Amino acid sequence: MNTIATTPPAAGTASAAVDARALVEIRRVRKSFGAHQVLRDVSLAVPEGTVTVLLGPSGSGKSTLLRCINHLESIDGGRILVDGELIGYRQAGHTTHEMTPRQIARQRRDIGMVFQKFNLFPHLTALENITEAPVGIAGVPRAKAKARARELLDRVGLADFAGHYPSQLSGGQQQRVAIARALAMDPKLMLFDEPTSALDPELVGDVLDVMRELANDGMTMIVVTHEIGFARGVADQVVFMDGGVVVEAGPPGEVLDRPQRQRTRNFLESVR
Amino acid sequence: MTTAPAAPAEQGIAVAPDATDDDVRAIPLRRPWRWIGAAVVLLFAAGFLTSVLTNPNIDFAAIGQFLVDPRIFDGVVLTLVITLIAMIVSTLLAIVIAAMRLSSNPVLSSVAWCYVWAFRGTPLLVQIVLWGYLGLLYEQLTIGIPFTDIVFWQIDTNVLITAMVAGLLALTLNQAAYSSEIVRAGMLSVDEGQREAAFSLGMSPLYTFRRVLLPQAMRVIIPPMGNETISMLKNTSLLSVIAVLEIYTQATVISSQNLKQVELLIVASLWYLLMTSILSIPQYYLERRFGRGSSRTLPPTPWQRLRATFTTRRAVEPAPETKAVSAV
Ligand SMILES: Nc1ncnc2c1ncn2[C@@H]1O[C@H](COP(=O)(O)OP(=O)(O)OP(=O)(O)O)[C@@H](O)[C@H]1O
Ligand SMILES: [Mg+2]
Repeated sequence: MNTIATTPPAAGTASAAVDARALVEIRRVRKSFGAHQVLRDVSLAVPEGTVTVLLGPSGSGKSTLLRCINHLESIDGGRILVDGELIGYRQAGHTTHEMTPRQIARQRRDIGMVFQKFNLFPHLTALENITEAPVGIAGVPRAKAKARARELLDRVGLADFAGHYPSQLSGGQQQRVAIARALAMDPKLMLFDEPTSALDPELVGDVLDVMRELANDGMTMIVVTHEIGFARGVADQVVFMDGGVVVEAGPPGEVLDRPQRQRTRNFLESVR
Repeated sequence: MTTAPAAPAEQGIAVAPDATDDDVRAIPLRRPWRWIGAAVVLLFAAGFLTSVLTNPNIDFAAIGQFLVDPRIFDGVVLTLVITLIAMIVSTLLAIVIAAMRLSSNPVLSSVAWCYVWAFRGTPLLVQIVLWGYLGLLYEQLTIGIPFTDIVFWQIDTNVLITAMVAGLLALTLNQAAYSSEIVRAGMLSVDEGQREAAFSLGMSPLYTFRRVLLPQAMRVIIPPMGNETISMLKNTSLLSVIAVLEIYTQATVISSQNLKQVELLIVASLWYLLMTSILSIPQYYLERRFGRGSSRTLPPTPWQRLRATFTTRRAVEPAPETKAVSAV
């Protein structure tokens, strides 16, 4: 499939990346499921206000890496820091100790996540999906949270759907509500795990538009996707993973157009 | 299914004049055996009813009299109280047992498994009698720390465990075993992605359980729990073996004096029917409450259904250009 960048690279975000400090630092992270080593010494830095796109064949460990960043998966070694804070662990000398579920929950408030299958709460309306966490755990007054939720729904183009249940929304609409739900906690970082893979082709554009706008507003984002056009147009950094290691990383112009490694070339051939 | 008047069909022809050949009436298959079957069943039902109603051995005046006897009323109230207390407490206990069963801690999950195994594997009647005999097993009940002399509270068993308390304990603990399996099935029916989405928003495990997982599990939990409530109501009659004065015990006490056993059983049965009918109403409302968002249309409540049967007849409008209108 031949994908063309729909918008020119955002000049603002690209230049901002140069001297911004790293919001996310992943250092030598290891992770196994039983005997199967899924992440092998993965290191990666994501500067504040930039977009990183993770590419790689199925089973290369992209989702696992993303889920380690908000500690939905524990890690076996290495460290993950978000905004200078160690995620999921306290360090004592050469060992780290896992935090309590409460402490981890506290850290996750600052990290939004969007899933392939949306995972909206089906028993709540679009508006209630968005206000549940701010009201229930961040203690935002209900009226204020509602007003903000309406603002967010408007921003993702769904102002008229506040009272709809997820089952009454299309996939693309559900995913945009899911993005609004994550944004309602005012996260510093947004993680996207194949946000458009479960969508009909004609609905992909709306979701990508919302993400593009978010990137232009300066949100730090890590996106797992197979949308090469999105990567080319929006990413400041493209990371190619295979077999649990980072094979190649760099600006989209380099990794996508002049890949240095054969494995990267083979993969790009296969998705093109 | 109702058939619309012929007028709109003729309009249909006017709209599409070249489709005359297609405008034919579809006649459903005739089913004579349905009518014959229904007639036979009705005949037997009528025969049975007459045999009961004209039976000289049944004292209908006594039925009418005892239906509103104050002792029977007391029994009805006690039956309802026991049912409600046992259902509420057992449901709370069941949530705890289900959570233990689903936990990754092997000790907790095996303890929960053993609990269900023991209480589901022995007859309720046996459990009731055993709780009634608790005073023979332990003369004193003590709250303290096991294997030490530290005692916080102590009481004579027969003072605390009256027949009523023993009965409540037996019904509650037995029901908790069954209900915990229903709750567990409900929890398993919720997609794993829901927990992850809740966690990713910064919700704690307890908050996630309370606000995200449990409300969704309720959709699966409520229909069987409705059944369990009705079973519980009827199982309270087993408490007659330890002389708890619920309705069945009251009825047998009265009939042992006046020897009108059948009449009093009929009285008790009529009350059970009334109580079970009333108890099945809240289920509709709970199903609607927790079914929000699950389907595009919610099932009607009994009240809405009742209203619908009286209003649809008048409200049916023949749809243009179709011959048959299906009214559900
Ligand atoms: N919970 C788990 N238990 C056991 N193995 C797992 C688990 N989650 C992932 N894996 C394995 O880890 C490897 C990497 O999985 P991961 O989901 O990170 O891949 P991915 O790069 O996201 O692939 P895809 O593009 O198909 O989503 C796979 O081989 C997978 O089978
Ligand atoms: Mg994946």
